[in-house]
Amino acid sequence: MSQTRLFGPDCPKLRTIAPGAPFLADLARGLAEEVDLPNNRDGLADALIYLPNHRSARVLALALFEAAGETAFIPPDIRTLGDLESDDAPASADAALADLPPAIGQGERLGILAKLVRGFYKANGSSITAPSALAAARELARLLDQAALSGEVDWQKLPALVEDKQLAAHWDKSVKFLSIITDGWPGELIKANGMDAFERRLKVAQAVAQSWATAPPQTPVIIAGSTGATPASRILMEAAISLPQGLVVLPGLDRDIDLKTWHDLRNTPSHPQHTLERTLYALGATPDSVADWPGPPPSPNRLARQRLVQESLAPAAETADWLTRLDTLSGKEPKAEFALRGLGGLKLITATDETEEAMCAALLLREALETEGQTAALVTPDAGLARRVSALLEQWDTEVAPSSGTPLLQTPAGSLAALTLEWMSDPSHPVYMLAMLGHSLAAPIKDLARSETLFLRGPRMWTDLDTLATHIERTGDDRELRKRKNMSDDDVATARALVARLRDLDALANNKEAPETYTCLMGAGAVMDAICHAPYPWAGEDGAALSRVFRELNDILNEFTEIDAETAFAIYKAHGAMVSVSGSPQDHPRLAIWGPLEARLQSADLMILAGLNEGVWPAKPATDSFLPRVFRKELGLSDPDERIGLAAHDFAQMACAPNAVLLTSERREDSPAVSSRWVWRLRTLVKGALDGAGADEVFAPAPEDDPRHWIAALDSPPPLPPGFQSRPEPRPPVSARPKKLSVTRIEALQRDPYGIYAQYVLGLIEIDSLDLPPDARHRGTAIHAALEDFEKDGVARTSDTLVAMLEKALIDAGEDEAAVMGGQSRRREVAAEYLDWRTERIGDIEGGVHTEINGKWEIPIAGETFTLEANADRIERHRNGEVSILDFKTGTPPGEQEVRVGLNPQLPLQASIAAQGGFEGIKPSTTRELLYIQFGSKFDVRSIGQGNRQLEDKPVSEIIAETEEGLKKLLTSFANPDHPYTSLPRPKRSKYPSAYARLARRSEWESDI
Amino acid sequence: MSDSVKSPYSEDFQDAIDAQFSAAQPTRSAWVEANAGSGKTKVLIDRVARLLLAREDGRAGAKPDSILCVTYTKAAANEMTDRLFAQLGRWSVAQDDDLRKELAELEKRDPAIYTRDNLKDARKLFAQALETPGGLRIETIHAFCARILRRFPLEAAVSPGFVEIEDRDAQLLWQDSVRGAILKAARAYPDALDIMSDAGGGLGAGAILGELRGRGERLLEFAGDWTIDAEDIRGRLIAALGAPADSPDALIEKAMSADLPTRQLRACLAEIRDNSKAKKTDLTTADALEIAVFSERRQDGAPPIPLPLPSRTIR
Repeated sequence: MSQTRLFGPDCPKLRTIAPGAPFLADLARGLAEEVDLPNNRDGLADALIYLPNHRSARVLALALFEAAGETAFIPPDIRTLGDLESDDAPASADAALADLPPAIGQGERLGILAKLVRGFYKANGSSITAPSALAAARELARLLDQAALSGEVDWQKLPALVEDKQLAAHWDKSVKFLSIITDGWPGELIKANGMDAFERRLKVAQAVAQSWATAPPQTPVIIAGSTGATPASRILMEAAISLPQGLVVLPGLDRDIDLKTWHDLRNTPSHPQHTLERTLYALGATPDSVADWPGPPPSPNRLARQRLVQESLAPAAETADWLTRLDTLSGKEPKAEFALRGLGGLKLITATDETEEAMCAALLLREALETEGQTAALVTPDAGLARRVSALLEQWDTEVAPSSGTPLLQTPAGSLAALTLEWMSDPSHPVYMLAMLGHSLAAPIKDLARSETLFLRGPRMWTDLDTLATHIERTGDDRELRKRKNMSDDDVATARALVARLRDLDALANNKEAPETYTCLMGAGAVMDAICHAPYPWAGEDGAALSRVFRELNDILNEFTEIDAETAFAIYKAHGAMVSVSGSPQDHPRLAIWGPLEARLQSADLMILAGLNEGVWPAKPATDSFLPRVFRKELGLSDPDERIGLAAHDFAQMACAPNAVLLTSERREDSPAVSSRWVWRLRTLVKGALDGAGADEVFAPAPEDDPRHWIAALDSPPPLPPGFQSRPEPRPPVSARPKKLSVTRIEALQRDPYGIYAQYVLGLIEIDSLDLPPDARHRGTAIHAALEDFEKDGVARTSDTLVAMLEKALIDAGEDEAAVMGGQSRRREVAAEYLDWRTERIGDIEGGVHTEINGKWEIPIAGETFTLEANADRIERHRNGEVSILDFKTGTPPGEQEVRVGLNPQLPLQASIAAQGGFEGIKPSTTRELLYIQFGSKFDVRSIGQGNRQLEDKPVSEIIAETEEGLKKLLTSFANPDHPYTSLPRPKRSKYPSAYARLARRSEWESDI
Repeated sequence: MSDSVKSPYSEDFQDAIDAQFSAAQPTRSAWVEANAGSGKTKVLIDRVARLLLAREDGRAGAKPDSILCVTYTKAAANEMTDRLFAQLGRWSVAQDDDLRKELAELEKRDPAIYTRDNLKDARKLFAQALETPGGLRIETIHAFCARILRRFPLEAAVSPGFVEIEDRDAQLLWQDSVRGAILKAARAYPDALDIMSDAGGGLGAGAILGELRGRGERLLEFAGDWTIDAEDIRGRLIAALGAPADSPDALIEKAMSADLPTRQLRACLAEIRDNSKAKKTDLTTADALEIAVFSERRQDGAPPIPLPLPSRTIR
């Protein structure tokens, strides 16, 4: 078999697998060959293998099975190290070795820290809100973790540091604050009988190392795939290489690097090999003492790629000689050719924005499926991009869940909890209640949608459940509304039942009889139990995660008293945002979407690296509160840029894959974005190699392989059939056309015939949105109603009464009380002016005035009868038998010109109806005047026919006759089945945005006319 | 252009280049005000690049993390970063002669002056800038302030882990507080509310408060120690503006009689009417002016007819 032996007295204990190689498959192959696994099925039975995480452990087991010839074999013991940034727990088998207290729960830890933070503020005579205390606690917890991951951090040095450096007094404050973790926290840990998780992991590793030292295992112990970023993993590595059959397999160690540069890496934390340098240093080794993993040597092209990528990421000091170093690397070959060879199989695509980037990634994944057996993986730290791509793949019935999981708040259970807590802060809020009750996990409520349209839409006219109940009764009592909305007693009963239900839930949320420790979260839990069918919402991965988060939050909230629903909601959102729920248990057989952590050691035929922008990949290191960088270094905390170095190592590993596509974006979040430093470096180095010529073209995929071309092809629709026009011109049969319209609808028929078509032929009525801010229409209706009521018998005709009636009507219509108050003074003036005007007129009026009076006129049009209807605001009958027709406007009334040309035919047409005797209880009468009464922010009276600067006076009778003529012409043309209902034929004349403009798809064709 | 000027450019263009050069000189403070597209960003990039390069006196260049560039928009910050990387990247792989030429042009020095070490240092700048610890400080003023506050939450007495408020949320918060203020005023200061409601016209008191948003502190200067006294405030306002103490009616009366520049107005009217370009509205206004100022009634001592002034608008 293989000539190289892995285990044996003279075998190297340190090995590395080159970047871009399939790490786990190679590892499995090497191990299988070593023990001849296909023929020796228990050859690895007593081996112990440590890998960074669960995913790689799973994949290695599978790879070993394949290497064993796909027959049954006795597997080795595979454990996980728990890598930096991942929260995999150490193997329980190891934990048993150490007699340690359990790791403290995340929630409990945050709760205690938050309590300490509060105590600190209190001791200093100030206070802090619960969410802020928690945010501070999170920062402190992060600092504790960083300390544990850095190895030995001596907090006691802190006060001395400040004195030594004679720094400004304000640092004193920070130091005092940090006493929470230096003095307060250790005591609390003892009280809680717990340990910090990372600290505990370190202790476990020390215990394992100790046991190996005392009784060295004689069987193989292999630590593979770890860069040794955590103290725990370094301790295990150190212990393993002194074992007889110990072996450490490092990922992608650059063995070509010269020793001087190698040692300089200590001060270059952002370099991909920085962590490996530290690890090798701890192991007392240098790159030249590390051996290659047995196997065929890499092809010259792959070697060229490795060198090129490694060189592009060189430490700054080395880049001074990039051009000469390229010459050295390429050897006898011209450096341009060397670079071109290295770039074979590597493409760089710069998308215009995230949308295009996601689509490119999705199409590349989809394309991979076209080749039988090909695998492809998208790797990105941008969780949003990952979810986007996953969603895009669904259009091809391809389900690939991002391995990083879904944020809790976006899962069914997590979102229901958020909605429930939000609802608890305002139980009668229409949006909150419907969002909660209509949630996909909630048991359906009968006729909820009916209650919604009848009672809950439009301006919110209630503030709590009691006033909501009143609103329902009032609406149910409104006969006209019932008729118009086809509302039955059952509908009212259903709405009542809904309120009763909400009252029950509200009682659960605020359990008055529960013990004092009853928190909002328990209330929310009880509400969710009540609205879902068991076992929801606690079933499934998301339910389990939710119950875990609730337990943690309960631990946190236990440290606080008096947390209201709104605060609990804020805390839940902040906490839930950090929890992600692992995706579907079923992986796609050939495609994957990984985060950089999950992608470590994994391989695929095509690797797509997306999100390569500064701030995304690599991520910006978090701003470090409380402690500046210098302090951190002195205390022994690791450099924040080490994370960038680890990310660079991930990048280098994957960019060396035989087939890789790098995706970067010109814009992110609506502003220009900067490409990732690694992309900048690679592009610049290649430019140097090609002497500036055509570097961008070298990276670009061939047009037929370029996903951007595919997108363009997908986005260009097939040509439309000749003569097609997207502008709708419906011509319904005459029988379907409206036979009855009100005078205001006649105006709409002129301005927006398509709207009339949609309303009367298609029966599409726009519904109000929920919690609608009252608009001019609602205000207008309220003011009309008040003016009508003011004319009723027995009402004192004083300004104060009118103002009070107006204000009550406005508030009943859902207008905000403050807005009503804020306009009070102006309202009083308007009311007073109105009353003066009214008194002046009243003498000439015979009998009372007619308000809100209905009228109709049946007009023969093209052999059929058309009914014109009207509801006049007010008609006054004068002693001589003539009438005045009045219309109240809260806004500005239509202009004289608009009325004369017939675009506002409302009042003249009412006069026509009056002339026919169409108004109830009014004999056929001649109209003396048509008046627009502006009653809103100002009071004004305008008589139609009166001229102005541009127009001469015109007798109102002429205007009435002309309008009537125009109406007949209009109706006659619409009686013709060939006459279309067009959308806003005179856009300039459209006063309001039409609710039907989108239905008519105006923006598609508007620019063509 | 005279023969003595060697520049291949026009005089103005050369002036602009010289101005850019002097503004990019790291040893002096500069305030640059120039049109869009005239090369302000170039000046900034040049200045940063020259800061990074070794000085003429042999001092080492500045460390990338010791330079702060503050912009107003994220777009500008990213644009600057991009262009700086592009320039430094070009240097990192430029041939010696090309790099010498570029540096010499940037610093107006003799190309021969640059030693091999100088060139090496210039080439390194690309990677050094990319790997600036904590990232290159080219950021928006908002990001900069947030970074400082986040770093020193205790000192700045801000809540640790605060987030910047979104415009929309700020608007909601504002509406809430306006609402609270009006409701409170309706109970406690109905007269004050009346005045504001009046001034706001149809838009109500909320519009007036909206106008005053962000000027709270200056208002308080006028209001003094929370004593709201109209007469007192009027007095301070008049003093602050240096305005005469007359009532509005008295002012109008004065302006329309003794101080009325009759002769000039007549000339204006004649001018308007003779002007062939005068529109119909101009002529109507002229007529109104004529009636208002020179009609018979005026001479009878009747009150002045108000001019058709544009109505008050509240933005």
